[in-house]
Amino acid sequence: MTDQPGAAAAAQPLSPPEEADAFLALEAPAPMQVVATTQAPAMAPKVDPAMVPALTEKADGYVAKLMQADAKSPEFAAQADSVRTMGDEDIRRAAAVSNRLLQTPVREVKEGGLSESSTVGQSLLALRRQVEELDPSEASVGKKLLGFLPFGEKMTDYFRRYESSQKQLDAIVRALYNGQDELRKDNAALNLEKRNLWDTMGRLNQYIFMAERIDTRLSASLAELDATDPERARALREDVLFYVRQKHQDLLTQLAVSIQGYLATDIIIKNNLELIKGVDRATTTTLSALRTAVIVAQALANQKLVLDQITALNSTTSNLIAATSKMLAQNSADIHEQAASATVGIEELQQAFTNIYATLDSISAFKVKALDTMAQTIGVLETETAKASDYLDRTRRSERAELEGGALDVDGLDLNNRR
Amino acid sequence: MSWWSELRRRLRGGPEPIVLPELPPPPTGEEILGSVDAVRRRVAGTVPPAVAARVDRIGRTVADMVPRLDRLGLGSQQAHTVVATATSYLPEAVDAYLRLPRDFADRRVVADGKTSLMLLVDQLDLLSATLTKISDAVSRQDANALIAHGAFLQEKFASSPLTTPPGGNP
Repeated sequence: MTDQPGAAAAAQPLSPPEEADAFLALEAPAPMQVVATTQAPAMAPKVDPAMVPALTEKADGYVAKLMQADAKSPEFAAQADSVRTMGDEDIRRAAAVSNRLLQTPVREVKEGGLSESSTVGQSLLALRRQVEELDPSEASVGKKLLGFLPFGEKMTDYFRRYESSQKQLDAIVRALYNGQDELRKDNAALNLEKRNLWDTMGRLNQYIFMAERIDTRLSASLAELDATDPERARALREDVLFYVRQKHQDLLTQLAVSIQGYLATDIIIKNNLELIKGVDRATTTTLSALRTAVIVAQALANQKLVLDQITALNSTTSNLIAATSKMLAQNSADIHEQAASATVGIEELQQAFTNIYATLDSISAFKVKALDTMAQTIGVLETETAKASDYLDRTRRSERAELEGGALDVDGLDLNNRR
Repeated sequence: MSWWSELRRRLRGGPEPIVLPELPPPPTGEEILGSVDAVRRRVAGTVPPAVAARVDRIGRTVADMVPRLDRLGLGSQQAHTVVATATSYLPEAVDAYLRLPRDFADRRVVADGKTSLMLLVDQLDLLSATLTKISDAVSRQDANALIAHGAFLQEKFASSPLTTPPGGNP
């Protein structure tokens, strides 16, 4: 809209819609790679250096107590149990979150933004049909309008189509906006899950740190004990060290699965962002084509399209155009000549439609690629979750830990080092 | 697709037309206002006055905007925001809060040092500010139309400064 709504501005028709810039390409994120358990601790949130002394102290204190306890005493049994239940609650929590996250790619493919049945999928489909119906170069128009003598009946009929499809277009654009809202809401929820999972992964990493520390200290002590009391060393190896290592492995596996879930979530979030961008582009190209149609109809067919809703968008400007043509008519100026010299013509309208097609095609291409990478991601996730199920069975067997809390819980370490 | 073009397609052996997905019709003015009223009723007497007052304020702005929604035109993001505030953003924010036990919602800090009540108030403030901005923009647009019309009338009927009054002496 121009700043000077006066005679000077009135002589200027609406400016044509901006040219399709170097076309927006929607990029599907790369499929997820398998995360090896050995890589997991390095990828997960690091153990806070401030926590290291407390964790070390706890692990060392545990080994010291263990070494003092009589192998037959109840205290020894309790210490051995502590290792078995260490971090179980966090493992279960991480498993619950990551299982939920691991389901999301499957759900995404079935009913997410990428699927045809989603709001976005349905409305894009409807948009393509509607656009094809209005396309000035479509065979359905009867004769091509390009090169067609202007001011004919056909031209008038053609532009009348816009009026009849107004309601449907409005419904499509509304549905696209709603679809965008859904995608944004999904992303907000996924981001929250990601943050929770990040915290849980941090705690798993703390347990891994402790398990490693206990392993090192215990192995060293056992090497000394081998010389003095081989029987007790054997008992410690079987009843404690074995479980320390098993727990270490469980923690690593759960951490790796959590990282997979985290990465899978990232892929979905990125897909959703791309779709949001695509929908934005689809609505703007459609609306700019409609605006172009209003102008072209006005300029070439001297036909005021009663697209209330579109014209409302630019009411001042279109009122001015209407006013101008009225004045021209009153002055019996050659309106045809004026129209022929208009800068916006059928070619521009054609270009506007080409832009819509390009957008819809790029969204389709994106969807195909994204669905493909999603399928690969789901493949990776399936094998990984199968691996993780073994140790989950183990943690379920020790569910009483949930009630008691083991001696090796990291809870409260960062606050008051209470244990 | 008309029966005539359908017949021609069949005669030519063209491809089956894609069935157009049914898109939900846009909510009517009554539906939009009804949705806000429903929220008002749900919060009546059950929430702190700070929340009720904000819901009321949003309700008033929505009621003020509904008759002017067509001014925003087809495919307007702003019109969508007004409608979605009434039918989705506001009810979802309030319902999420109402689902929580009162004590928990009003006292327990859940994120960024804020209670659920404070989070809700923030969300309502954001919605209210956004709606006010849109309402202002529409009013400004209407005012612009008036200015433009004035310019047109001026242009058409103002006499040239060189015009001499009829019957007067040059």
